[in-house]
Amino acid sequence: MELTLDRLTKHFGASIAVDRVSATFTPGVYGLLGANGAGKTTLMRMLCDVLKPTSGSVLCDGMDIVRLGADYRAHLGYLPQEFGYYPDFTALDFMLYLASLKGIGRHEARRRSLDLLETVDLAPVAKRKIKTFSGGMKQRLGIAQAVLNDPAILVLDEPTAGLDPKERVRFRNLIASFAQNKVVILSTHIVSDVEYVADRIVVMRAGSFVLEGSPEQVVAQVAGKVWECAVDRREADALAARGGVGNVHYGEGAQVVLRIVSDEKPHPAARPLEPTLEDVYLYLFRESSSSPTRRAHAQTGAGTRGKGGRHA
Amino acid sequence: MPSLVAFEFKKIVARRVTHMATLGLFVLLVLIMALNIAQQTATDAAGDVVSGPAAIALEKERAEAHAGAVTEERATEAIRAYQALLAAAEDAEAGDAEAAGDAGAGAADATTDGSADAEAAGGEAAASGTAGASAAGAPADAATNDDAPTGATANAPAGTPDPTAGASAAQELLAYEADNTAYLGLVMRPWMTGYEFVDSVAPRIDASGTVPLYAQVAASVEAEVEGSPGTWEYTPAEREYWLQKYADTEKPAVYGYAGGWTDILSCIDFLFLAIVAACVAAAPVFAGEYQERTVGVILATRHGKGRLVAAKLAASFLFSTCVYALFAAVVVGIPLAFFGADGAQLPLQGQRLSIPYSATMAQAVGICLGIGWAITLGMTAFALLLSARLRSQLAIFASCIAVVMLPLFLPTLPSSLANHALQLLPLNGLNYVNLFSEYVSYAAGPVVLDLQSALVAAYAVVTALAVPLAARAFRRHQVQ
Repeated sequence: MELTLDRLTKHFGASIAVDRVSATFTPGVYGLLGANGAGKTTLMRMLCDVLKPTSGSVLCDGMDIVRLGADYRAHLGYLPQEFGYYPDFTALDFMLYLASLKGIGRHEARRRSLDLLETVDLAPVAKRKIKTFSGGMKQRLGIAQAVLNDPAILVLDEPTAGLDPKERVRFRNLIASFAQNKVVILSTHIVSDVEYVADRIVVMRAGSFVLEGSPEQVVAQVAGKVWECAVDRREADALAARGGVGNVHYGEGAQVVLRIVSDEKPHPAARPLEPTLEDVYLYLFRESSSSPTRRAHAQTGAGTRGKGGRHA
Repeated sequence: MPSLVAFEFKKIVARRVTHMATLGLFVLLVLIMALNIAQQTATDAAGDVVSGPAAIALEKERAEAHAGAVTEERATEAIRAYQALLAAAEDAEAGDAEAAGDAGAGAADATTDGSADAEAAGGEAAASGTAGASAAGAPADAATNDDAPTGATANAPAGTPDPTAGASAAQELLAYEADNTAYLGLVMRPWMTGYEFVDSVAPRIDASGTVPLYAQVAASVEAEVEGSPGTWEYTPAEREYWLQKYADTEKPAVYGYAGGWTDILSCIDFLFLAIVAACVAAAPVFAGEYQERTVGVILATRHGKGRLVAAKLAASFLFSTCVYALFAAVVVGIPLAFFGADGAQLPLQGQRLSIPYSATMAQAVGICLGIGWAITLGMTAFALLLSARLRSQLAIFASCIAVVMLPLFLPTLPSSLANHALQLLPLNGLNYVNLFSEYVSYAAGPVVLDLQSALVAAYAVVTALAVPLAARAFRRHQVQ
C-alpha cells in the first residue's frame, strides 16, 4: 500500500498549519519529527480523514481517501495525540466497541481483543474500568485499539506523551512488533522515540517537510557539526547565547561540558563528535530553542550537577 | 450493527448524568402520581371530607348512580331537582335572615316584657315553613326521579313551622351537590360562560320544559369557533371542520364512571418529565464524543462516519422510547391501580359534551400517549441535532428545557399565529384539554389539521429534518 500526499495544505484562518506538503509513504516506519506547532498533528488528522484539507489531497494507492471513505478507513489504525476513552467502559468493552466500529465480526473481535490486551500487558485488567487506569495503561490500550484491525496504515500521533522511560521503551518495542509490512507514521517531538524504530525520518517545521531520509542519511546532514567542549560557566553562558547547545553537563569544580551543534568550531577547545538524530533536531530547530544553560542554572542553581534532557 | 447499537445504548445508560436525571425525574413522577391519589378528596353524606382511596370509592359510587345515556330528559330532571334545592336553600336563608331580624327586635322587647324568645322562635319557624313549602313545591318529576334529592319530598307541609327546616334545606343542597356536582357540571356546562359554578348557572336555565341540551351544546360549539379576534382566529374552513366534527359525534352521550382514565388524562402532561430525561440522555450523544476527545478515534474507523451515526441515532431513540414507556407506565399504571379501569369504553363526551372527537376514554389515553411519544422522539431528535453541532452539553440541555417549558411562561400572546405556534410546544401538546376539548386547528387553504394531527406532523418533520442534519454534522465534524 502506498500513501501519497499531494500538495496537502491546511489553513486555520490566516495561520498556515500545513503548507503544500508532498510525500509518498510506502511500508515502513516513518518518524515524523517536529517541534510543538510544526503541523504534525494537523497532518496526521488529515491523513486519517478526520480533518479536511484546505487544498491538496491524500491518495491511497492513487485514490483520494475522501472518495475511498470507509474502504480507506478500514485499512487505517489511528492513535490520536489526545486519546479519549469512555471512563465507564472496561478495557475489553472498549476493544470490542472499536472492533465493532472497525467492522470485525463478534468472535474474531473477542479473540483479537484478548490477544492484543495480552500483548500490551493489559489482560489482567481487561475487565477493569478504564477510568481506573494509569496514563501508561491508557496509552497501551490506545495502541492496542489502533492495531485491532491489523491496519495497513498505522498513524500514531505523539504516542509516548506522558509515559515514563520504561513505558516508552515498552511502547517502542510494541511498535516494532506491529510494524511489519505496514505504513507506520509516528509523530513525536521526542527524538528517542523514533531513532531506534524508524526506517525513515521526516522532519517538519512550520508546516513543511524540511528533511527526509533514512536515519543515517538524516544524521549525516550534521556530520562535522557536532562538538563537545569543557568550558567555565561564563564561557558556557556565552556559547549558549549563540545557540545550538544541546546537552549540558556540570562537571567537578567550575567546568561545564557542552554538546554543541554548530557549522563552525564553537570554541578552540571543542572536539568533533559523532552526530545523533537529536543533534539533527537541535540543528534544525536551533532558532526556536532557548538557552539550555540558562535553563539549567535556573533549575539547579549554581554549583549543583545537572544534565540536559533528551527532549528536543 | 446490532452490537454497535448495543454499545451506544450502553454508553448512554452508563453516563452518570443520565443515571441521575432519569432516576431523579422518575422518582419525582412517582411521587407526583402518588400524591395525586392521596390528595383525592370527597365530601360524604355526613359532610365529612374523605380522602385517598375512600374518596375515589365514593366518587365512583356517585358516578355510577348517574350511569347511562345523557338524554335531555335526564338532564332536565337533574337540573330541575337542583334548581328546586337551590331555591329552597335561598328561601331558607332569606327566612333565617328575617328571623334573625325579628330575634333582634324580640331581644330588645324582652328587656321590657320577656316575650322575645317566643317571638324569635316563631319567626324562625315561619322562615323554615316557607322553605319547606318551596322545596315541596318543586316539580313533581324531580321528586320521583333518581337524581332528585331524597329529602325534597320530606319537608314539612307548607305553612307548618319547622325550626330545623332552614338548616335542613342547606344541608340537603350541600349533600345533593356533593353527590351530583360532576354530573350537573356536565349537563350545565353548555350554559356556562367562562369558569362558573353550577349554582350560578342553574338559575339561568329554563327547565320548565325539557332542556334543549344538545342544541345548547351545538350553540356553544358555534360560539367557540367564532374565535377571539387577535388571539385566536378561525378560517371558514376551520369552522366548517369543527362543526362537522362535532356533528359527527354520537348523541346522546353516555355517562358513567371512568375515574382511572380521567385521572390519567388529567395527569398526562407530567410526561414532560420523560421528555426532559430523553433530552438529558441525548445531549451528550455526539457532544460527549467531542468533549471526551474520542471523536478522532471513532471517526477514523471504518464505520465511524456511517453505521456509527445510525447506531447512535437508533440507540438514542431506543433509550427515549424506553424512558417514555417507563414514565408512561407510571402515569397510566398508578391511576388504574387505584381508580380501576372501569369506563374504558365510555365516550369522551361523558367528560364534556362539546368534545368533538368520537373516541372512548381508553382511546383518548392511547392518542395522548402516542402524541407524547411523537413529541419525545421529536425532542430527542432536536437534542441530537444540537448535540452534533454544539460542544456544550449544558447549552443543549438549556435549549431543550426552554422549548419544553416555554408554555409555562408564555401562556398566551396577543397574536393568533403565535398562539397557534405555542400550542405545538411539548407542554401544550401533552395537555389533554388542548388535545380534545379546545378547538385548536391549523389551516392551509381548505386543508385543516387539528392539534393532534398537527403535533404528529410537526414532530415528524422535526425528526425528519433533525436526524439527517445531526448525522451530517457529525460525519463532517472536523477534529481540531
